[in-house]
Amino acid sequence: MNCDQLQSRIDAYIYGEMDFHEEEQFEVHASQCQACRHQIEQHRAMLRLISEAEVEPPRALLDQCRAGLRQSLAASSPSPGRWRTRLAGWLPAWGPVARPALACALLALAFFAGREVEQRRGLIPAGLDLARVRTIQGTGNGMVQIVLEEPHQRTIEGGLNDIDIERALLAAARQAPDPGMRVESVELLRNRCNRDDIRKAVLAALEQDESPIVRLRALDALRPHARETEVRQALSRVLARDSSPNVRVQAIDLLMDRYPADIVGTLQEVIRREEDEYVRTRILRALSQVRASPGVF
Amino acid sequence: MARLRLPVNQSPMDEAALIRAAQAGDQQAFASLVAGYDQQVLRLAYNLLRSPEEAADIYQEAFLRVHRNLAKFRFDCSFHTWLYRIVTNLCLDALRKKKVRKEEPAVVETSDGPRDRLETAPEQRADLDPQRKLLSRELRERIEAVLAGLTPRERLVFEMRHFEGMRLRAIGDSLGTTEEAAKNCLFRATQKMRAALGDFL
Repeated sequence: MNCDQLQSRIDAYIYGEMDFHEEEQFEVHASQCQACRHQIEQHRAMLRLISEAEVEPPRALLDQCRAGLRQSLAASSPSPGRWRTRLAGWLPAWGPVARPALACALLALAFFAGREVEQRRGLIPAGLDLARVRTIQGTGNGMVQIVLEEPHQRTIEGGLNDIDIERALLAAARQAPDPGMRVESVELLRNRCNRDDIRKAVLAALEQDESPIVRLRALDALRPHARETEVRQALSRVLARDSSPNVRVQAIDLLMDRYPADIVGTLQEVIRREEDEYVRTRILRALSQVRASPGVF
Repeated sequence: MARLRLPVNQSPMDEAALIRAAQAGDQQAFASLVAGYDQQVLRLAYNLLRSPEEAADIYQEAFLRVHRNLAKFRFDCSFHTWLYRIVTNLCLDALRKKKVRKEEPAVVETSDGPRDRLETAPEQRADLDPQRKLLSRELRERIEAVLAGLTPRERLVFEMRHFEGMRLRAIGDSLGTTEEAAKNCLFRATQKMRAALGDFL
């Protein structure tokens, strides 16, 4: 490392962004060069000066921001009629100080009254924090009725043949936000791909899922069906369009497993555009296996 | 009204569970998720824009966008990276707008005659950043000037690396660029600072 190279890397060194080897070269040069050591010190001093200009936002600002966000979120929730406005509408005009206190009292009353009812039914809500208030109505006898919308979790249990389990797995394979969960769903569905609807769901995962890991699992699940026209067509599209070289290579393998002569045209077409060196090699090997040329004449 | 919980030491597993709950509509989980990151988002915006109002606008808009788009979050990257993509875009836009507006005259007319803009608001500035009272006025102005002279990207990368302690790779990911490009940006920023502050060193 020379002086110019060292000076262009002072930031990386000071911020600990160098790899072991580069750091070693940097320090060896610095230990032998006084001018560079001076530059490093100057740089550190400059960063210290700048650090003094850094400021912490006042705590009150954070509190204001959080309160503002809560308000905006409450205002944007699609409840029919704004509960605060509705509540304010039938509260007596006792001024802005008394009004929130009364509102809280009424909500608390409704909450405890509601809890009693729920307890009798054996369903204790997790608390108002989790709920969205949909409607509030005075019932005329000093009580209020509040409709809460609460997210509920439900557990279902059953064999893979169970209709609810199957539906849940199909939904999870399609729309679970976590790719890990989509992989698991495809895995559990894999032995049932002889069923039309399940095969279609797995084909959709193969062609549409954002995660290459899910697409690879789907591809694997379709292995026993690689001779079927619908699956072969999907695999050809994957070979032509999938963004992951790994998925494209697996598609070649699967297509070559049965009736390799069928896909010569696809391979010749794809190799004209294929940029990944490894995928190109695999296509060329596949073409040579069926004694076809890489070019289209 | 739901109270925001302060961040606890969240493991990635806890965070994933919070995200899933928030995606399912659990507002308390969303509030906890926000509380894990909002202080650093606010600090970044506040230091970049040097204005409580503008920092509050960034905060509000960033987390409203997170709320609107959380259902589309697919765990393909860390939540931190995803959030910072939103935050850095907003900060860059605000810095660009500020740059267009900033050609405010350095000297303003007051009832006592023309005065330097910085002298007209000493109270507010002292409130805003008490630490800076320790710096000499000349140095303070020089630092302000050099920070204002950076491009929005240089300013943002410097802030994220130097003050927020983010790795260059994470900064590159947030800005949709490479680690190398982030490193070059940081280098340009610190070179400008060295040139401007040389005589104070």
